[in-house]
Amino acid sequence: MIYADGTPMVWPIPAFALLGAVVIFVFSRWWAPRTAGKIACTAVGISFLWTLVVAAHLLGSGARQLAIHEPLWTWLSGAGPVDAKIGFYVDRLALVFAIIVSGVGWLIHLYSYAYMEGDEGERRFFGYLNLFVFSMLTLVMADNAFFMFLGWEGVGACSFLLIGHWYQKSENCAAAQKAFLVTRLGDVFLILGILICALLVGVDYTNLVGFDKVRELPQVDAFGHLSGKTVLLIAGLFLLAGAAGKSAQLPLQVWLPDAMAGPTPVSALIHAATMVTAGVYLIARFHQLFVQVPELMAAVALVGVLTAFYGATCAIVQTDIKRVLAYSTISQIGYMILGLGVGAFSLGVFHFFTHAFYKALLFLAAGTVIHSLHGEQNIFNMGGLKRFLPRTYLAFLAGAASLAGFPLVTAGFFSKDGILWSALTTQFGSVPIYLLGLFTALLTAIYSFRLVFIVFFGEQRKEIHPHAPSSLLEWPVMILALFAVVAGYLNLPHAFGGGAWWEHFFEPVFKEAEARPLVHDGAKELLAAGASGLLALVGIAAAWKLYGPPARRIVPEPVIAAGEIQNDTPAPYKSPLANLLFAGWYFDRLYMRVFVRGFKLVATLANLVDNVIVDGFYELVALIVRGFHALLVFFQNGRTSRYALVMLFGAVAITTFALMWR
Amino acid sequence: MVPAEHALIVATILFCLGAIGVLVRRNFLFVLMAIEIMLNAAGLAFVAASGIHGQPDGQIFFLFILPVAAAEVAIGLALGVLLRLRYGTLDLWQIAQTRED
Repeated sequence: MIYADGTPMVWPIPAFALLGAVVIFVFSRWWAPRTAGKIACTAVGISFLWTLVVAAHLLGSGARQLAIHEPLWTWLSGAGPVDAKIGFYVDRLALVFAIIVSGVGWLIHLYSYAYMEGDEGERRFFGYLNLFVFSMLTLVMADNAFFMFLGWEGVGACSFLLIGHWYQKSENCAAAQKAFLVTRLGDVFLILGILICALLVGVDYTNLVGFDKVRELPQVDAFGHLSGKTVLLIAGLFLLAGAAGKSAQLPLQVWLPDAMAGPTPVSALIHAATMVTAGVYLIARFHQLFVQVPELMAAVALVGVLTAFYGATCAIVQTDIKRVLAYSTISQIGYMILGLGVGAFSLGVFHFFTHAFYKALLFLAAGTVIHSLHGEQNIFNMGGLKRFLPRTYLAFLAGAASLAGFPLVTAGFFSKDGILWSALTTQFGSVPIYLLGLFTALLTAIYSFRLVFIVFFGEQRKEIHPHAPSSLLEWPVMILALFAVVAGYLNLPHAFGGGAWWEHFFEPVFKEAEARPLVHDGAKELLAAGASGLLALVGIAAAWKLYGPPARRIVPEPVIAAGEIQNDTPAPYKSPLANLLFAGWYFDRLYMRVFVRGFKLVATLANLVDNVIVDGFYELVALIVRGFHALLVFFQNGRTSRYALVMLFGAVAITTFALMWR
Repeated sequence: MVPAEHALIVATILFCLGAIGVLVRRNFLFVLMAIEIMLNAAGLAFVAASGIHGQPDGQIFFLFILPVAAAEVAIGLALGVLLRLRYGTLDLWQIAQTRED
């Protein structure tokens, strides 16, 4: 599996995951349920190892070889611009994503092996999980946009299947369908954007540099003589809509909180670490397009920062531990998109990198908590778990600190601060965006430590006896916790005396598209970092004040019966503002009223038109035919006498006619 | 002397009676008889027309009709026997319903 020139092949990376899925689907029915988990872990483990081999090769060869391009075969050809090939292209961007997908994916597989023990759908679960890893690896390693779209749809399908894993409960099925339909709306825009790109420059990633020539065109004939810049703007907005659908950005974010209906490892893998960041990958991959149009970059940044703010505000009042984390994911992906939108592509990807660790960690730790409490998800029924789950507590603390951006020692601090600094200082950034991002950072610190304080501190609330988790539930979490702390040092900024290794690592990918901060003042950068670090600390302190041990807590608890929290729970708080945030700014209600009911109204009207006008016409035709039929039946009844009668009438008629004629 | 037109009217009435008999009768034998009546009505019309025109052709034609009628009756009765043997009835409607598909 190594080419003659020493380059490792890259197709085995997704192939092993696919092999695992196929083996599980075909053979595991004859084996013990546990075997499926073992196969799945092995398959993804080999994928991960091979990713590391490829990574070692690419890192070792440095500037001599920046990417491995591996065309395999042609899928569609000769259809004009739709010239789709199957092939892989692993540059440094794809490599980082592949490492996260297979590496974090592998840890989550190991965790799932313990978590899903005894579940009746264990084989199915691991088959889909492997299929997901395969699809996601295809998505990030494809060498053209069409092949990427295949992976894109594959992860959507696996997401649907895994959200609905416990399909016996109808809410889970509804959540799965909601996720599928909402992301599909984004996918429609995505394929439109890809088709426009195909017409402009083709879909191969190596052609994407051609966008700067398109911008110069005074008019593009294929698009009604619009100017090149306008066409690029349209294509970019379509791609942004596709990214928003998959990455749960405004206004298509409504599916992600409900997607928490799936098993917790699925939430960790698909709805936190990998699939939902596909939009980040998409925009980073098409950065050559996005940087051509400043308005497009502004739109991306705006979507990002608004979503970050939205997610943080909603997370602060949620009562289901997984929904807190879901809204937090929405918010953090908003940060990533913001980073891309202000031109700091490498930092957006860096935030993806750190977020994958700490958010997967938070989900897995939350899963351990839920597992230990026999399925309890309401944080107000937890409390005092620090004593029962000490290792999980430490891991969760590391994750929450990273999420909150605890200064200097966590990965989240460096990645988030880099984005905020870029939002302030690059050509695409502006002060309002920076301030909103900064305020969101404060909210992030509050909600992340709200979780820590409510879940792990204080007294035990309900008579639930936690049972100790197995070691396989703990040590993947510990590894992730390690990375959640140290991954940030990969991009230690110059102002902190670091080398900004990550940004240099991505220079060959983003080249001059990466917007450099226009301000090169170490003191100011330190000041900005200090401000966000201080805000994080203030947020943590505020969370302690607001949600610390109940004796000192000043925020009243929501009035919800234990374990009764559902998506459609009526307002649990006294304050209308808190209820608004709890319901996700009523986006669900709005969409329900506008789109679902609107659709039903249109469907009713269409049904009416169909029944009365369309069917009426055809029923009229049928009536005429039936009349003729009755006439024929009169003559053709099979009785000789009837035929004789008809003959007689005919004879009489002919005779009469003949006589009259004369 | 009865006018020849009256004979034609009688022939018409006879023919209609025969036709109605063919149409409405269910029994094979009666249908056969009705056909005979129609034939004889036609014969009467021929004879009457012969009288009107003062030519013998119509009367000669009636002589041809007689053996045709006799042959028809012979074949008809033979058919009737066969029908009776095959279907066990001479009811034409019933026979029409038990046709072999």
